[in-house]
Amino acid sequence: MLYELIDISLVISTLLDKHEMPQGRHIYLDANASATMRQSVGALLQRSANGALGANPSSVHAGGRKARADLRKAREAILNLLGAPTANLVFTSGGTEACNMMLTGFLGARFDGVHIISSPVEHAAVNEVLLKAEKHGAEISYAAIDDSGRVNADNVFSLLQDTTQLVCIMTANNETGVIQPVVEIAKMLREKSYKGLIVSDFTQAIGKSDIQASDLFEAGVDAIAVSGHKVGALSGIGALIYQSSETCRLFDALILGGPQEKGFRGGTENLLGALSFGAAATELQEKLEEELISRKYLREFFWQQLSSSISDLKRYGSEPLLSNTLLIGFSACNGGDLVAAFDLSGLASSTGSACSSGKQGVSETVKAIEPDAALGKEVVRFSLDWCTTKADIEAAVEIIKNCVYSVRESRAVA
Amino acid sequence: MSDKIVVAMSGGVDSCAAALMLHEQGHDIVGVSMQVWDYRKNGGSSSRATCCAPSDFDDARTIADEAGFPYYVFDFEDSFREGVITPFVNSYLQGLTPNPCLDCNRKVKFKELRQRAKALGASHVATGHYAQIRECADGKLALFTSKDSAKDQSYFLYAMTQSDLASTLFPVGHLEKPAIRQYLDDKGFSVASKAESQDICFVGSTAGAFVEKLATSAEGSVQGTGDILDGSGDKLGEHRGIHHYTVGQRKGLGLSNPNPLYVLNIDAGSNAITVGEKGNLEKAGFIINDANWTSGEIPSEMRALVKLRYRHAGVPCILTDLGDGRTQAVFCDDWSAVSPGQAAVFYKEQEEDDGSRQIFGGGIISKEEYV
Repeated sequence: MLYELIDISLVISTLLDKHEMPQGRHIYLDANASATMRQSVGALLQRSANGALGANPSSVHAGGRKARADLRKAREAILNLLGAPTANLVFTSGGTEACNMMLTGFLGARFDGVHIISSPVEHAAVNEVLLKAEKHGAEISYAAIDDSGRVNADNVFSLLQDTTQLVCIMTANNETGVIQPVVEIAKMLREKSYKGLIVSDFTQAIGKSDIQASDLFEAGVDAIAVSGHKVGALSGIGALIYQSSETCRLFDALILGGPQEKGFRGGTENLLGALSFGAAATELQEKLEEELISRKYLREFFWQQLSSSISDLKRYGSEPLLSNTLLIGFSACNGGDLVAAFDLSGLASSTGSACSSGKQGVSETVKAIEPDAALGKEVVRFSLDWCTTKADIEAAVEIIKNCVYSVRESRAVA
Repeated sequence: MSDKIVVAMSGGVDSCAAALMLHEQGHDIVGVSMQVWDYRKNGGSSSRATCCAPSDFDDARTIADEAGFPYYVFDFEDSFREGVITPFVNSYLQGLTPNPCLDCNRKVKFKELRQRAKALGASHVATGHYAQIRECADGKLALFTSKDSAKDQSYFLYAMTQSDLASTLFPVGHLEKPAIRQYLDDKGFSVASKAESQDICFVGSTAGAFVEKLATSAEGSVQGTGDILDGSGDKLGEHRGIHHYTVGQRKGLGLSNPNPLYVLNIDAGSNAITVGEKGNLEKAGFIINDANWTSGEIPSEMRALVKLRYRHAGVPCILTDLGDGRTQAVFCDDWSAVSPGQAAVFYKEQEEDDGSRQIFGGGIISKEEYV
C-alpha cells in the first residue's frame, strides 16, 4: 500500500483552531447532554489512527472479517453491560434514530386507528414521532405525572383501550433525573393481558442507574433505545435493543439500503462509533457500581453545599433518581441568565434539554413539573459526569454562589 | 471603562459589525440576542424582512464563533409582549398611533440588556444603533445624530438619561452604512450583504391585520365597522374598524372629495373616525407629558428643531415647561400635523461642524390640545 504523507496535525488544527475553549478552569456539569469521552475510547481512537481498524464489515476479505468480528464484540459488550446477552442489538446513528425506529418500526409505520400511551415528559426524539403519528391518524394518551414528573402504573393501565398497540415510557428523564416505574408498568400491563408493544427510551438510564435492560425485558418490555455519547463513547452511535418476539417480523426499517443489521438498518455500520460504544460499555462494566455510588455521593454533597450557602432554592425530583442529576430552581433568578453567568465563569450547565431551539426557554418537562410558569424560568439542571471530582463540585459551588448573587442583584427592583 | 461589554446582536449588519469592532479593539465582549417573538408559535414565515427568525441568530452566532467571544440567546418574549405588543394592540384599539420601536428601546431592549449586563458583570451595553454619544464642555454626556444621516436612529433614543449614556456604546454611529458593510465583507462574513430589516420587526403583513389577530387575546377586542364623520359630525362613509387607521392617514379612506381628506381624530368610544382636509389636521402646537431631557435638566423655555415622526425632516418650535411634567411646543413657522401617541423629539437647530446634531430629549404627544 502507498501512503501519502499528510500533516494530520495541520488538518486537525485547521478544523479546531478557532474554537478553542477559553482559558481557565472548566467544570463540566452537563453530562446528560453529553458525557466526557472515556479513556478507553481515546485509546481506541489512537489505535484506529494507527490503522488498527478493519474495513467494511460487509466485505468478504480479511479487512471485512476483522471489522465484523470487532463489531460483534462491541455488540456483546453493550448487551453484557445491560444484562441481556441474548437480546438483539441494532446499531443506529444515535439515540434519536433508535427512538424513531422503536416507535415506527414495530408498528410497520401504520398509525391510522392506533392508540398509543406515553408520558408528557418524553424527549423530543419520542414526542415528535408521536406528533407525527397523530397526524397520520393515531390517538395518543398521555399518562398523568406527579409533581416529580413521575407516572404510575395504575394511571397508565387506566388509559388502556382495545385499540392500544404501543406504550412508550422513558426509563429515566434527562432533565429531572427521575426514574419511571417502567418495570412495574410493563408487569401490570402483561398481567392484564396487554399484547401490544411496550418500548422505552433508555438513553439516560445507562451508566447512571443500576437498572438493567434485562429487568425491563423480563417484565415484558419489547425494545429500548440507547445512545453512545451519553456514556462517554463517540456521538453518532446508538442502538435499538429488542427481545426476539413475533412483532419483529413486521419491522419496517427507517433507513433502507444494504442488508446490514439483519435488515433492520441499512448502510455501512459506523464501525468506529460502534467500537467506541463497545469500549465504553466494557469500561463501564468494571466501574458502574463504583461510579453510581460516587456520583450519588457527590450529587448529594453538591446539594448540601448549595442549599446551606444559598437561600431560597427549590429542588425538583424525588427518588428513585439517576445518580447524577440535580434540578434546582433559584428564586428571583432567571435560569438562562444563570447558565450564561456560570458559563462565563467556566461552569457548564443547562436549563433543560440541549435539543431545544438554542434559546434559553422553559422546556416542556419543566413546565410539566413546575406549574408556576414564573418558577419554571428559575430552573437550572446540573448533571455530574463520570469524571467529576469533589474539587470540581467545591469550585462549582463557589461559582454558583457568586453568580446567583449577581443575578439576584441585577433583577432586584431599583 | 471596565472589563465586560454586553453587545446586543440582532444578526443584522450593524449589530454584527458593532460586536466585531469592539472585540477587535480588545474589549471583553459578550454577544446577546434577544428572542422577542416566536415565529413558530405565531404562524409567521421566516422571511428575511423581519427579525427573530432562527436564521437571523445564525449570523450573529457565526460572528461570535469566528471571533471567539461568548454568545447567548435570551428569551425576552414575556417582556416584549408586555412592553411592546400589548401596548401596540391597545393603542390601535384606542385610536392612538403607537410606535413600537420607541416602546422597545425605552422599555424592553435597554432595560433588559442592562439587567443582563449587571447579571454577567459587564459595565456597558452596546448596540448597532446609528447615533453618537459625546462629552460636552460642561462634562455632561449628550446624544448626537449619526454620521450617516440617512440611517440616523437617534429619534428612538430620546429617552436616554445621563446614566444610560454613561454606560452605553454605539460603535457604528460614527460610520456610514457602506463602510460598515465593507468592514464585514473584508473579513469574509456573508452577513455583509444581508438585506435591511424594514418596518416593525414583528408585524408580517399590515399593522391592522396584526392587531385583529392579536386583539382577541388582548384586553378589549376589535370593534367592527363604524362611521366616518366630517368636522360637523355628518356621516361621510364607513370605516373598516378603527385599528386599520391612524391620525394623519390619507390613503384607504374610500371617500371622494375635491381635496384629499385626512384622518383627524379616532374616537374609540363612539367607534367613529373624523376626517378633514389638511388644514384641519395641522396644529399650531402640541403638549407632551413626561418629557425626557438627556441633560437631566428641564429647559424652561428654548427654541429647538422638532421631529414629529421618525422620518420627519424637523421643524423649528419654541419649548416651554408647563410644570407637572408637561411641556408645550409651539411651531415657529407653518403649522404641522401631529399624531397623539407618537413621539416628538427635540434637536439643537444648529448642526455641529461634522454635520451631526445634538438631541435634547423628547416625549409622547398628548391628546391634550394646545390652545
